[in-house]
Amino acid sequence: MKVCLFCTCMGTLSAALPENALRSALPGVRLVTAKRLCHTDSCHETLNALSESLPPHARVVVAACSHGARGAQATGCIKKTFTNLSVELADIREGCAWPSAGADEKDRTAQAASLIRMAFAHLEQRDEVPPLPDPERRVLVVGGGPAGMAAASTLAGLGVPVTLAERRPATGGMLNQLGRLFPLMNEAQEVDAELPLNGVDVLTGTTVSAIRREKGAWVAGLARGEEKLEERFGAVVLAVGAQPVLPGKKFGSGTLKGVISQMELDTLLSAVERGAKSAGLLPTRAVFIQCVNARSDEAPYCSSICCPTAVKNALRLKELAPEASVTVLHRQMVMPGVRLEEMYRRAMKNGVRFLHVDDLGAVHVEGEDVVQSVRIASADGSTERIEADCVACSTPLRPQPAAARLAEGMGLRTDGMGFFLGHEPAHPLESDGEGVFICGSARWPSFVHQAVEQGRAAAVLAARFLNERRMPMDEIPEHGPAAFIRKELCSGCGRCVQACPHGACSLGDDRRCAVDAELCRRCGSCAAVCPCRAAVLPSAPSAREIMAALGTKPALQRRPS
Amino acid sequence: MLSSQHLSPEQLSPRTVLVAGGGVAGMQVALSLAALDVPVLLVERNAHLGGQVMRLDKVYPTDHCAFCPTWSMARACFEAPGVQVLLHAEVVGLSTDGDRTLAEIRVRQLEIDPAACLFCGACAAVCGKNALRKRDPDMTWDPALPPAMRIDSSLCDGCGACERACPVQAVHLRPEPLTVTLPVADVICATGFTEPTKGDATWTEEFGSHTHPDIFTAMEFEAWHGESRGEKVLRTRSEGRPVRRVAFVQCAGARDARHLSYCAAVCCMHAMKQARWLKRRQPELDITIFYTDLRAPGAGQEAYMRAGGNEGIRLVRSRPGLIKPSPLGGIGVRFDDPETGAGRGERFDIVVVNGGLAQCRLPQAAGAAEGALRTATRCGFCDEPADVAGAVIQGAATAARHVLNQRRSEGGAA
Repeated sequence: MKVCLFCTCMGTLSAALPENALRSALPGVRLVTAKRLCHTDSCHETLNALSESLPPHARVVVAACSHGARGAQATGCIKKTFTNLSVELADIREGCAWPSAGADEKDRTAQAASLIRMAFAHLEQRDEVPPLPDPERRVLVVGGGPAGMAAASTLAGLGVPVTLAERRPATGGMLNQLGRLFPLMNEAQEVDAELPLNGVDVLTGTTVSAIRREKGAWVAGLARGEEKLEERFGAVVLAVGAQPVLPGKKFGSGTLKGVISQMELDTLLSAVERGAKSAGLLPTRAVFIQCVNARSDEAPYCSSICCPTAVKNALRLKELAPEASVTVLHRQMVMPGVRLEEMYRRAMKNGVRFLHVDDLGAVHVEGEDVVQSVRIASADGSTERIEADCVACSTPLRPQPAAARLAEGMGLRTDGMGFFLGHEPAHPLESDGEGVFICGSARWPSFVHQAVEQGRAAAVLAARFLNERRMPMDEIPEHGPAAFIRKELCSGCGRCVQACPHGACSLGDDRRCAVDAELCRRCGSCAAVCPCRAAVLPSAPSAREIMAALGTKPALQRRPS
Repeated sequence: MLSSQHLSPEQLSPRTVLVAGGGVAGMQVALSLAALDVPVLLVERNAHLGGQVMRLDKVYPTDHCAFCPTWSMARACFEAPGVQVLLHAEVVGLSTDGDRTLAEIRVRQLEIDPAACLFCGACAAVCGKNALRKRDPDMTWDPALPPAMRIDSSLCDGCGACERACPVQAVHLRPEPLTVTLPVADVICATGFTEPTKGDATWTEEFGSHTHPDIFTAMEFEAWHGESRGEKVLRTRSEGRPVRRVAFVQCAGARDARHLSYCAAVCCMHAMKQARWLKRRQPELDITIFYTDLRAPGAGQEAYMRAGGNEGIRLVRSRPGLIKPSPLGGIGVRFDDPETGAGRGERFDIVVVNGGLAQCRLPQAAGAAEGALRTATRCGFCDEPADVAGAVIQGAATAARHVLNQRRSEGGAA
């Protein structure tokens, strides 16, 4: 049954297009007028009056203003109320009544009627593209560091079933290694307490060997010692974290006593803060070297957390041993924002010396067995020597080796270094995988408080992803939302296999192409490159459809060779 | 979109959260809360959603169009069932009433209420002065504005024919600002930043006559460059000469105890983005960035900076002390040469003064209890300087924290 809802736009549209003229121009269509379909109350009034005489699955064309004006509201209101109707918008205001205001009324009505017929032709040729399959309502969080714990804790709080897999025997990740944290200078254990894992299925000592896509879900291979199992999840939050790069042999590290990494200094300071005897433990003349193994050609990125960590440790050292001298050799102090800049100023005020060095090649750590001084050669030939009993090298974080393996199996992109790539900048936590979210240092080196924020944000995104209404997998029609190949026309040239950016096209044993409906994103690349016109995108109008909409008979089609 | 005609406490669910500011952070909070079944009232001062990002031409580090992702978020806000958008409105004060927050909202009523207007053109048909404009919403350049008729006030004689002709009473020729007080469950402040205005006295002193047409602020330059993209050669605003030398001055008014003591975090990348466009547009341009510390800590940002350095953008580690129009033409910049340590001056055709983005805060209602504003959670740039990615993350995380707190307190009460 063809029903056309004609919105008179409070009488303004029916003044240009008289209802009766339109009705006689549309034989076989039941024309129903409404005053103002974009207004919820008015729309409901019309629909309620109509609903009794409306058969299920009726085809409804809304003849109103354009999508960008109020048309979207009108169709949206109808779709929300009657989910089983096929609704199409015919723009007869901006598309007809306005531009043809000066034309003869008869021509204008004919034009509007043909727009409405076109809309019906659309509906007849094509059903609504069904929504994507309903995912498993469970989330897997990979990694039990601050980001992963925040994600799991938030998801559990939101009532979403969640499993947390951590490869170590306990959760906490970096929190277990760190002492006091920027910016509140609170203890890492306090953060732990803020992220309760009640209601989370916590699997410690469990490695995630691989995750693959199968039938609308992510199937994760979990290994716990000898025990191996596979489980299905609707969404995945990747919070595998990162690991610190070691200074290697740079600046006498490993050979000279007193040359340590910033991480080791952090541990030392934590020990003293917790009451260890400080005599002889704490350095009295410390030199920090920033950007060791970072921002170089081999590692062309700024790890972003090392400068604040160095300043934090300088402040802690100054607090524990006010007489100690601290010099920070930096290429650039990366302390963006309000809190970091304030901390930087506080450090300068407390007597921490910041020395700008353009090239770390000019810095030499001197001493026999034990570090004695740091020599800096300036470009103008002068040298400066700083007495030191401790040299702390700030090194960046680098991605976990496991990240690359997971990314490859899941078809996610990583940057040159191996950090997961999100859709910067508006959707930074959303990866290429459907329902796969990234957070924490696996995405980019983050402070603990940033990792927690990202974990919480990723949890919201995952919950939203699972809450979206979708159609169960088995209800999707054979030629459902995905592209499909008309096998009788396919020559097996494989162009679609190359063109498909989602890896959905593949050549079968019969040397004919097939499309994996789950991987297909309906981009139409296969249909565009197919020389045989065998690849078809159901949502795109075919030549036949366009001709029918225009009311013309299809011309003789050239047979595809 | 919410019509100011229908603004009353009865319209709001008691669980409604007020989000002040419709930039990327505010929109993300609103969308996330709506996805978690919390009703939202999104209040935006301007005529459109999108905030400062809507004013950008491109975003780093992808160099993609800034408009598309922002607009799709704005569209989602307009369409999400749980989000009510109130444009042209400002939160002027907050106070508490028991466990609820009372938000005082001033709505700048327009002659034509965009939420009510059918865009039918009945008013234009009766106007004798042709003062009403009907722009096709699908064709207009500015799709960020809602589809509604507009009055050209220079032509309108106030005869009132359009008021009478409007079938839905959307036209009020002499609108009065409306102030309503609404009880809400929580207030989230995502008010972003403002750029210092040109007339700012502290600025004029140091950065020359800041009113000179060839001295730009960064946001101004973004708009100007975007508009002049059609022209082959960049020309100065003052005399129309072809531009040869451009300087970007970083940390102007920021990291400075006299103005803003903090670092605005986004300006280094912002300047590099603009410098790289200029290079791409006119490779022969001589571009200098004066910086204090070149900060590019985010994902993919260091690589972006390095690429800029390789493209021949000159980076000078120095803070210029004086920017002044030179009597010899162009704009003179005085700075300490980092190589020699001696002061020197150079002339540029265009100077872009960058930095000093001031965080916006919500005002407190007159006579409200001390500390009432602390109930407003801050998120986005107004909490901690953030770029688009940072604001989006903070927005979603703030929504999560609100919902968790709410459920915890409900659980505690039950």
